[in-house]
Amino acid sequence: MSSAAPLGEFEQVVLLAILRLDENAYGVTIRAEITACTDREPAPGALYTTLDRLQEKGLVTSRLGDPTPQRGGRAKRFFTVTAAGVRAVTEAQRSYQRLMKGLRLLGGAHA
Amino acid sequence: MRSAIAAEWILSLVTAPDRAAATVGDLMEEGSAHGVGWFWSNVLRTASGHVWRDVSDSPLRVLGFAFAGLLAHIVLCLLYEFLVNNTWNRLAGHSGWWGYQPAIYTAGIYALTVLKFTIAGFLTGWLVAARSESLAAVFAAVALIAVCFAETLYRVATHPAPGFGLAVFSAMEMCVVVGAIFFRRRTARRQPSGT
Repeated sequence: MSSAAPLGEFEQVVLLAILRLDENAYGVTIRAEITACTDREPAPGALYTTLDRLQEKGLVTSRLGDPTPQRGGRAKRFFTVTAAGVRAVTEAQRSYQRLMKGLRLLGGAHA
Repeated sequence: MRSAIAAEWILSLVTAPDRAAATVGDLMEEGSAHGVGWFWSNVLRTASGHVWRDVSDSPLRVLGFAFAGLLAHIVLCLLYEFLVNNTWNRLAGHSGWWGYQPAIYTAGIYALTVLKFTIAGFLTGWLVAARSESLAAVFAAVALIAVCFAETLYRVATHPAPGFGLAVFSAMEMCVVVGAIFFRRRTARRQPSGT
């Protein structure tokens, strides 16, 4: 069992979205990925504060890309999940799996 | 473009300047499909989200700095009273060492009162922002000062000329925020990359 502070649900969603996007994870694509996968559109404010919190916890790192004209010359802030972030989200998902084990949901048993 | 600069200015009050720029870039990129209303509502929601995060992450720390701000404000007001008002009394030929002499309750005294709350408010905001590095603590201090001065506010409101007192009180509260904003802007210019 991990001794670190447990991840909130939205923190897990954000970490998984960054992992799915690999090298192209910045605010706009992370939000689009979450919307596509969960059918929930997160508010930008909630996303940015969560990203900052994850970075302070050492679960993600960020780097600035090149400025682009469509963004008024502003750079994209790309995110990468750290090894600690991968461990944290994996452990959190394992906890869910353990809770699901043996339950009969939607007509089927979860092994 | 001008609104993007204003949005970046607002966000840089609550986060590192390069993060503020990247956030505004994201909102501009998405905002082209949603419009100006969407852009500004999300700028303000993002800024308030950053402020609220400080409160939810460490409420006791924010409250502690708010109380320190209240204490600093009272000390600064008393110091001003002692130094400036007594000098004014002396210059006006009165012997009292504390407070105003009713006989010299003039426009000059009113001006000194306004100056007192302006300076004390500005320095309080500056000090709280410098020590806490959080606008949440500044807003909490503003709320706490309002609560503690509620009795004074009531007296002002029932005074024959409440407008002046309420205007001074509101200006003082604004000065606390302005002091904090000045500190944030000053440090933002010197701040290394927050990325």
